[in-house]
Amino acid sequence: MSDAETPLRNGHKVDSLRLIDLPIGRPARVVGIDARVSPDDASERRRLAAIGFLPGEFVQVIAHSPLGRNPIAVAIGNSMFGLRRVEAECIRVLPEPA
Amino acid sequence: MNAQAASVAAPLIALVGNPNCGKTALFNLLTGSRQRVANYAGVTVERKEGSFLSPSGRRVRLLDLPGAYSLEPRTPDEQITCDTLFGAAHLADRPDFVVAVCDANNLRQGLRLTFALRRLGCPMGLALNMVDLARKRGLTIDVARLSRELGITVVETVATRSGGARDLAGLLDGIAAAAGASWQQAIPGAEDIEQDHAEVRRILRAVGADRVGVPELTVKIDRVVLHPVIGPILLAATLFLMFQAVFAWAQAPMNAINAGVTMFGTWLAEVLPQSHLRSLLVDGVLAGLGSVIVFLPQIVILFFFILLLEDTGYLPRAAFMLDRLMGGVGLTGRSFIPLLSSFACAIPGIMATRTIRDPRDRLTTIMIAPLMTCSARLPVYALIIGAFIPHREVSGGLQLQGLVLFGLYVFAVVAAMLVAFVLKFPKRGRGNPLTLELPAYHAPNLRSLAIGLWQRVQIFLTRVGTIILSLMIVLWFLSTFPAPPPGATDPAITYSIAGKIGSALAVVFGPIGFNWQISIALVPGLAAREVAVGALGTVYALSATQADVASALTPLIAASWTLPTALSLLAWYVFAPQCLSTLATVKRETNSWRYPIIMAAYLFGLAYLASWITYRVALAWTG
Repeated sequence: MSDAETPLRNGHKVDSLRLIDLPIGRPARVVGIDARVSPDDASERRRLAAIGFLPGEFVQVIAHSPLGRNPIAVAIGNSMFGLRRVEAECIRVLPEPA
Repeated sequence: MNAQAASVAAPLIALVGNPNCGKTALFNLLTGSRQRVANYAGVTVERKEGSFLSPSGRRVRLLDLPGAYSLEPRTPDEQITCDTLFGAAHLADRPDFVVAVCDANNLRQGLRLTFALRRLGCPMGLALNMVDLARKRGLTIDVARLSRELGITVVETVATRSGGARDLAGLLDGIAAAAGASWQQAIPGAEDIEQDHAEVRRILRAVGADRVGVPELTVKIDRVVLHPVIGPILLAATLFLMFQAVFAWAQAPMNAINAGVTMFGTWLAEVLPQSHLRSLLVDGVLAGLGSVIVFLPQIVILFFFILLLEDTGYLPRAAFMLDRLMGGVGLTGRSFIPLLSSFACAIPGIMATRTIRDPRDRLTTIMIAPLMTCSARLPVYALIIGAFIPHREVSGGLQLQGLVLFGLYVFAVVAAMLVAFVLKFPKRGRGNPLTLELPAYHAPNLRSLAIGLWQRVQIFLTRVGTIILSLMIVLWFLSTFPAPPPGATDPAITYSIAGKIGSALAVVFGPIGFNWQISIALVPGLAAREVAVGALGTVYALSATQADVASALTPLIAASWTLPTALSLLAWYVFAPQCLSTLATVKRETNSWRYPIIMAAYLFGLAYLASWITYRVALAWTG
């Protein structure tokens, strides 16, 4: 696999889902980061961007923790991170066409 | 070469890069230092300076900095890196040249930081590290093209191979010769990763580094290691095996050391005439040091496992799996790595809390770090377990002694979690992010493993030879003088200064079952925990009425303590803050006397309470 443009289908984001809901092993692309009700939103977005959560980046869930998927292990770009549910809930992704 | 010119012109070069991209390994390779390296993010938490001679003989000063994902610091360790780059720490120490270190296997992440560095206007080059590993994974990066695209010099490095930084040394040689590179005007506007994003992706495609995903093998291993059911079982089994091995593998070398010390003591007692000197050497020094040094094999085994876990990349996985548990008391899995380091020693553990973002999480982690069973407690635990817990198999090859040791470690962890729960109450920040990097696995490097172990052996032996030795000599004097009055029937030590102090302290410690010998040993044990074992060795050697003074400590205490006393002392050591260096580190890291004082008070309080309960319950149990 290699970098491709964000696979927007007909320009719609309707098929996107939250990273927390992405099934294990399913390749996907980052769509963006949802705003949360927090004064820290912009800073939080930059923090997630700095580790690779940027539009179009490759993302894949590697593992879920038992009981409530908190935290989950996620491959992003060429890295892998453990994210808590609160973090994975605000990242929107679009699964690659099968 | 001209020494004067060198001292004036020695340029300061900073290594800056993402966490775990091999900056410290490069630093070690170039300067010949042996700073700690391991396979997880956040091993380096302070700035370290070294220097080396460039190929043409010019002195170059090299700065190793904590890793960062961006130049917007989130944690105290990233703050150090940013302060240095912005010249905020000491303007004079602002580096003359910055080497952006990038992991060739993750150029994507490295380039984002490189772009941010370029915005700062610093004169810079790029070291593409771990190119050997990248090639093995079939990744070839067009270095010439990368250099053209970025407009800076790019060199390939392999920090784990000697000579692997030759090109980098050559680059720095040129810098040192020119000695005129200066900071340009920073590009106005804040750092903007999203703006750089398209450019980074274009360059990755251009140089052939646009592959995505993590290594196949790492994903395969993590399917098992991070499996919701198998993962935690594997983690428990690993820790369990570690403590079993500490007892099972160490027996033979410990017996050998014991025999050697005893033989040497007997020989010394024979060749030296009956004198104070003989007593000082045999009862003071040899009995004291011998009883500590015998635990060297167990410490080596413990560190063998810790280093192995660090080197392979398993450690952050353990933190990942324990995140939920830590979340239950209001912390995150990020606290796990400092806490695990504290199993070796609380001091680096407390320093490692610099990787924790939330100040209150960090303070809580610092406060519970001394509860993790550090390796200095091992001699104390091992001594008591060896004397009071029968050496037998429970079932299926499990040893009872290892089981008890494991139990003590678990007990300390549970206690730490309870304390954290109280400190974090009400649970503010339950929704704190984790964002813990899980690095690709790699096979442990046997050479660095051996060096790491040897360093631990050196640290242990240095402590034995300096602090423990001097305390043993002081203790011998206090335990020998004044001499007993003529016609005294009790052991001489009971008339000495130490004997008097011990009896006074025994009033305080009597309710928790400590006799005067233990009470004496606790005082020098404040300086360092394992000193207490040496002190017991000396005190018992001097209180022995029979001639064979050099006999091992274990059978002596087995014969003279009751089981409740032994258990009470174990409970004491789980909590007691018997280490002045730890308190000094807490003072430094929190920049206040408040926290070390609170820490000492709460730990002594808990220690006394735990020992009292243990002693009373054990007394009632054994009738």
